[in-house]
Amino acid sequence: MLKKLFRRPPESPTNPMVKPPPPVEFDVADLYRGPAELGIEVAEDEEPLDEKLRQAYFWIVNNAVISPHYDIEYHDGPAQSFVFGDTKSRLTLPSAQSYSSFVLLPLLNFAVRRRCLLVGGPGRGKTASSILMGVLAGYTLQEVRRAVQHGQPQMTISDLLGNPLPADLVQAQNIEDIRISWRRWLGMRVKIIDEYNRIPTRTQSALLTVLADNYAEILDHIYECPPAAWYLTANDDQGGGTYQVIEALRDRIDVVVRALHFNTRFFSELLTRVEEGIRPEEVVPGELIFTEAQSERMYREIAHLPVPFEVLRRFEFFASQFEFFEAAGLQLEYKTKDNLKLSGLDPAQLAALDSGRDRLKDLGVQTQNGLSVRAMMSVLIFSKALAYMRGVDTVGLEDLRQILPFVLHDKLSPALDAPFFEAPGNGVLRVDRISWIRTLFDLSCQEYDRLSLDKDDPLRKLSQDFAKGLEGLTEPEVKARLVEIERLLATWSKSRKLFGHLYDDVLYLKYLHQRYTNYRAWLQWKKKA
Amino acid sequence: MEEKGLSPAFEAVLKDRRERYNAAFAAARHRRTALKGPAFLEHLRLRVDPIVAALPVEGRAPVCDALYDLSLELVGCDLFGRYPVTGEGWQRLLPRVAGLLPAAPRRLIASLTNALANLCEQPGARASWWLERMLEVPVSDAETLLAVGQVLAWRAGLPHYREGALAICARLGPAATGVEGDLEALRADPWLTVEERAPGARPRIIFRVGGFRGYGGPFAAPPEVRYAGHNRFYVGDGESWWLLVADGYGTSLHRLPEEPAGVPNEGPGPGALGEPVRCWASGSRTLALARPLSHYVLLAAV
Repeated sequence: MLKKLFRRPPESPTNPMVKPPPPVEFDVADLYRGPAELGIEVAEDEEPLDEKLRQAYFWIVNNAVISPHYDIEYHDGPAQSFVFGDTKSRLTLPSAQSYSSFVLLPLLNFAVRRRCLLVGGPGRGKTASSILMGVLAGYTLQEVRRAVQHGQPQMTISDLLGNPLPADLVQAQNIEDIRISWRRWLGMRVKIIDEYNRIPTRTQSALLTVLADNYAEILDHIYECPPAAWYLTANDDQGGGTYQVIEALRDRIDVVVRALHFNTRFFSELLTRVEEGIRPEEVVPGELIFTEAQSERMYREIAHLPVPFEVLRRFEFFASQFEFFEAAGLQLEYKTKDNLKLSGLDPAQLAALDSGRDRLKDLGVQTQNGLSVRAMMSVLIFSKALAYMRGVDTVGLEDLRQILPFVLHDKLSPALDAPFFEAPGNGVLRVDRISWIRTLFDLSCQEYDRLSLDKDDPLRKLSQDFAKGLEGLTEPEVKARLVEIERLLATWSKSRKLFGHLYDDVLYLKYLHQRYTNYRAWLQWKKKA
Repeated sequence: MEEKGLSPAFEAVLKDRRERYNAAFAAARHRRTALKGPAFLEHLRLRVDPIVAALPVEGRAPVCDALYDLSLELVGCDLFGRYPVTGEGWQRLLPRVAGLLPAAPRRLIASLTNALANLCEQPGARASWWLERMLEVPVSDAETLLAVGQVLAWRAGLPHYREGALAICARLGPAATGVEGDLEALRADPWLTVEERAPGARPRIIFRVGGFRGYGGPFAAPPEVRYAGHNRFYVGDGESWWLLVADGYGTSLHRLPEEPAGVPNEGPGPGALGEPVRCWASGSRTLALARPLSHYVLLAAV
């Protein structure tokens, strides 16, 4: 085990199933390859960054953060599993390369420059992981440590953002003349806020502006921050800090990572660190550092990774389950949980008004809220990042499935009194939110398959036709499409109860109907003119 | 004799980056058990100090980092012990090219070290000759230096780089590479060298390659030869297969992952050599043959 510590960057390829190496040929350039590694000084702009990201991941898990967990499981064939105890705890041995969420997700957050919250008890490596990300961005350890903002009850806006220069405060005739000494961390590509739930509420608001809108403001002076990966840490994400975290700030967090426990079988590694005084963040191999240009390129490559229609459709279907609340409005558009929340009424009071839908089967009953647009975008970009990190060309359903629980962890609130949680074996899902969200997605996919929506999606043709544009459509064609929409709505209204996914489909049909109606009116006006 | 101390430049760097270097050493010692403190310090004094002393002040720290990190790897795998000429390269060649190091420290240091190591690993190649010639190359820019190094490596006994080296000669010209005259003739006949352009008497045996594994050679059994095209040969001993490349500067064997299929012979048979023959293969300029019961392959210019 000792020999495994502090290895060099893992040798490429780190995921050999993905891209086999090219065949070896004679090349005079091979003269200069050998026992001394050349490093990344050559062709920085051509280096495969997905491989570099994997190398960074494996270096961290093997050397820096002792996290021997593989909770993000991938399989490329049958996997063996074993059941333990009366509660039937299941251990599955993944048959493909799998990952530790505590290391993987901060790294993905680094790649897509979003906002990551690390939650867990003291001494679990939350801040150390964040600091490693700063070092990966090319900052020195000293720079990263100085840039960490430590939340504390006396933290002021000036502590966080900077100060007006005292001399200017005395001499300036107008506010534009007052120069601001901005805090250096604002200009960094990795921003770390340690124990953010200890920051006073007023300072949290200033932090929100930087976090959400990427600028800081003091005395009408604006500091535009560069795109950055944010890491916020908290010992307790349920409001156990000194101050309640303002909801807008919590809502801006894209992904939540839980620090996993320390496996006591790895004590010897701790002992080595104590004896040798090794601090992994001080010995990050230079080959793993991402330059600013590489970070930009990596983000572009991730953003352009395609999501196949079939995968996107299942995500649409999943996301459509949660917002609908039949008793929350009279008009269809207002039958939402958001509407109910704005009313301030207790959902339990209105639950009795719900129609005769199967409350065990309806996934929407399990949540108190729907998904925000921001959450959906976060799911998409993190799924792309995971697929990119794995070295595959498109986002797979499993990438989406693995990412969902971490992005929706704080976004989807469970309705703990839902019948689903009363069912045998489901009680534990009230506590284990990661497994609950993953189960929700699995149930959604089962329903999607039951409805055979991959083969028989009644909206697909209408949607594809509409996507071609209205220009050039004749009035009879428009009329035919309107008839088709009305026929579909008539069929559904007779035979089906209103579930979340159907609710979105119905409103989508109304949207199409309105667009075609307006277009037909324009065609008729044009004919007369 | 009094031991020479470190240069002020290197002392200043070590003092400034002490924490980083100590941590890196502690980390490296876990993966390289051969890495010992006293030997490493001796390496720093003997081989790294002259380079640091020759560095320009600007960009000194990144070069020192690269030297230090590479030293941990190379001392850890005992490269300088196994191939002393690599250490000589650090002592003599790297200080000479110190002005080029700040631009791409790791790349240049590692490249020159690897070149010497590759020459040392190739039986019959002349690593010391390469080093002496490199010390005579004018230091203008790193790319030219490395390109000339490739040409010199071919001439030092790495025949598989012949084509690449001749392409460099054509690109850089005789002033940079020292290779004058008709490059086409060198391309056409692998037995011609820069020094010897006359074909000489043919057929004649030039090299004896291989040997019994029990005596340090590569072959477990008397080898079989097949023609591979372009005056190269496949050689197999029943267990493994190699590609045999040869020219006027030397020979090299490259292990193959699986048994290859040969191509039809292009040249004459071995009759004119008057040798007892167990098997043979021939190209337009080279003939390879194996004698009965011998673990060697004979290469003849034809």
